[in-house]
Amino acid sequence: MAQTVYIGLVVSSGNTSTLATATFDNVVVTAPGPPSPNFALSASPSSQTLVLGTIGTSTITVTPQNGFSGSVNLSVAGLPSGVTASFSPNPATATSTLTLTASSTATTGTAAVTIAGTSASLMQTTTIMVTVSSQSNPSPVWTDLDIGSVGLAGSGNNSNGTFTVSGAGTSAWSTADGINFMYQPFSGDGTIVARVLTVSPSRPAES
Amino acid sequence: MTFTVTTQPLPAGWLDQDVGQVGVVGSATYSNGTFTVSGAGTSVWSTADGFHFVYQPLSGDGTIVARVASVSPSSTGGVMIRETLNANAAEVFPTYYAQSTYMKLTARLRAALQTKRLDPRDVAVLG
Repeated sequence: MAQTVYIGLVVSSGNTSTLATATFDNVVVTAPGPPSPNFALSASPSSQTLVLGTIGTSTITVTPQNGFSGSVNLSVAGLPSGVTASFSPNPATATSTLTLTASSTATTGTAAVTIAGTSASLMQTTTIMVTVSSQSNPSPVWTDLDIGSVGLAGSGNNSNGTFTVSGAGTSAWSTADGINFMYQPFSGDGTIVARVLTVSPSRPAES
Repeated sequence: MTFTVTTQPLPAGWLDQDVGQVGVVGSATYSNGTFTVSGAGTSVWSTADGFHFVYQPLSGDGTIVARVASVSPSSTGGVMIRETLNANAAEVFPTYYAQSTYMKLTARLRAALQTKRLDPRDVAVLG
């Protein structure tokens, strides 16, 4: 916003006891008109990683400026092959949820996806970086720990998804355990699924 | 409190007031395309002004064009852009002095500074 200054017509008698009079005609003042209504477009988050066969959402926000009160038609361009997009609602006046769906055969890689909003003659755009990945999120961090009375230090190893865990200990029974535990911290509800491929022939203590 | 009732108010967007030391209250009217402005004051020079101002607030770039159709003897009239409505504001003031029959340009380049003047007599002396 520019600073306000003052523009106009002056008369002065040159003393503080008498009035002077001046007349002016052909007076023209030019000034910029009031700022015109417009809107800004933004996306949060502005980057998405989609695993094949999954969806991701981003909130598109329309921010009115200078008294803008229209609705904005949203469209998308630059989607990777196999990724589809939908907005709800569309057109939007405040926020819209963009849902991106990656098919199981979508093209992997990263693309700059342009979100365009139009309202009458106005158009604004924002960009979302969309990464399509064949891998799920990076493997969580595993930790290996001896718990209780073990006598010999155990170990744990993860090689391409096959976990080899070695441990001594009093086993898991009675009032205290002695085991080697390969684990990850977890919050909330969860499951673990694993196949026991092999186990040493030593006879468990409790059986 | 004084109420001034006028049958010829200024056009929409125009305001008027005395700026600085004037001694006598000024006024302004508008009729058929002509502004008639009356004002006393210490004139526009040195470190502070005294005059009557008919003006519009302006944001951004703008221009003013006007013809000085008449001005009282021994007084001054012109167009002005100034930074504030304080007496010592930065300003630029192309002006017509009745007694000298030519234009001058007066400017205060920063608030409270002495005005600078472009006067054709000075140019004549220099030339």
